[in-house]
Amino acid sequence: MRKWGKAAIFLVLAATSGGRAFAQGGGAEAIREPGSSTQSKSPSAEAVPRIDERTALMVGARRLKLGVLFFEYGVTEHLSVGTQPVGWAVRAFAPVLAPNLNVKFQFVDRDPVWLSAMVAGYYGNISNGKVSGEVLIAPISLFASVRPVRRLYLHAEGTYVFARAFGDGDLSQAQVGGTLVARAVQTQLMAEVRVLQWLSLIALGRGQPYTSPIRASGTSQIDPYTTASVDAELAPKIEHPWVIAGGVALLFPHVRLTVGAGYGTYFVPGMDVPLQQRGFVPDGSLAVLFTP
Amino acid sequence: MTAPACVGAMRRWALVVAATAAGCGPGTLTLPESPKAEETAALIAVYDMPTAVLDIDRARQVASDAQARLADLNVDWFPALVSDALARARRRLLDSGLPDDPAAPAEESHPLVRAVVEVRRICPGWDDPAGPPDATMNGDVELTAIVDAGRLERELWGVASGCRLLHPAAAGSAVVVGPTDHPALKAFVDGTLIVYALAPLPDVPAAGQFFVSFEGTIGVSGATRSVGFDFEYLAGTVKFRVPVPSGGDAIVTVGPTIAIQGANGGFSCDLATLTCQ
Repeated sequence: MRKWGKAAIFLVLAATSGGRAFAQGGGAEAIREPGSSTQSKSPSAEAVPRIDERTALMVGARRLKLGVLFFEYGVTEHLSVGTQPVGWAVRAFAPVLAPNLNVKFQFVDRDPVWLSAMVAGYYGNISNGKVSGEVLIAPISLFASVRPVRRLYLHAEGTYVFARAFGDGDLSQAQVGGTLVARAVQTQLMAEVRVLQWLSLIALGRGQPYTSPIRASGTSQIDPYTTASVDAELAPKIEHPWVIAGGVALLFPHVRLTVGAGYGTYFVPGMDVPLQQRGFVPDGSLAVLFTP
Repeated sequence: MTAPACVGAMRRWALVVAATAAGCGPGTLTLPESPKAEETAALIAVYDMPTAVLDIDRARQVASDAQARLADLNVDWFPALVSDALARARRRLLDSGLPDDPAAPAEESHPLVRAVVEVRRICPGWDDPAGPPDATMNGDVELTAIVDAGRLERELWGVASGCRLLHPAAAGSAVVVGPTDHPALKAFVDGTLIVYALAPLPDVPAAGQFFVSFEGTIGVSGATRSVGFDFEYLAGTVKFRVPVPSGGDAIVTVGPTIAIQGANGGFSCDLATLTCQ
């Protein structure tokens, strides 16, 4: 029960932090007014906030974003570093710690096209005193954002989730809220309609066309007379999870809020691991931005 | 960059990408096949539905044969040896968050787990000197369990290699085999065993419930010989199969009386007089 308790706590934290399905209304970078001229070389100096999570857009230079999903700091206009607080906060409730870090780099910034890449790393210790093991998760994402018409943004994403287990450990901890940490390829397409300067309607679809099970193995000594080894493979029950969702994003200069709902499989934010059941997917997020 | 160089670079990148997509980790786990699965299933079926047709006279003969076989084999230490290995396997399964009950369904909302669990238990030996156990001298028992689709497979199997133990165990021994109220015998076992779990793996050896089929060499007090036998152990009660000359098998349970189950009914026979009813 203790093991599943950890997983449940992980799930609750992930759920309350909101799915990333709607880009979490996270930090936004200011942009030109829609319809204005292109060549946005210094977007943070401008006025209209934009969604910067799960898109090719950036948080902005020297901006600090504190959200329930992500903490992020813009080192420059095109480089930011961040972490997911959920992975750290769970330590207060269970002996599970998931130190994590992400780096995002924008390599094309030519309104109406933006391209960026993000690499994240999550580490989990799944030892339980008698057996030892670790799990490493490293989502690698490419983002493309375009603005084909004045009030419409399209955000595309391709992510490869690298996952590797070391040792064996308590295999029930190699999952988050009942979902498995596995190697996978995921894609997402999000359409954002800017209704007002501070209000966007969002619709998205996310899927996982490729999934690979992970292996874990190790040997332990039970007592002076007994040694035992485990060679295990964990595979997700839903091989190709997907979700479709809709919602609204409130994009104020210093506060971001999104709410929404959808149907499909809930993808745990950040780690990009899908739950093992399909159904109603609630969503919501809150973030605050600090600007020097 | 020239065209061939460009193609070469693209190929190298393609290899890198392919290796990354493959995960750069170990390949798919191949679960070993349970040995003698069909034979084991057939034997289990006999224990569930004995095939011998019995009457009073045949039941008396079965009781006599059963007594003779028990005295001949002298393996009342054997169930606890198996049960002890199962208890260790259970502990290892639980340590890794794996199921210990073959009847328990896989968690509906959890990933599918496939696993091979191998337990190596060094036997206690005949003299159990101080210090770490001597695997070379004492022999060992290796047991393999399989978890497939999140469920523990009922069939486990193992190999006993030159396993030496005392019956009953010496005081303070790590493995206590059987009752301790009579002089110790030096037991020896070497061979293959198939174990079929009839209940969750035991937390203590006495709680084991399983079927065992063994082929190999056993010895008690220096007399070794090749044997093959099977029995069911149900938390202290032993059932074993006795072939009936007229055809089929009867299942015998030894307790205060000898209970014999045939295809057409059961009989109870007195241990001393072998009178049955």
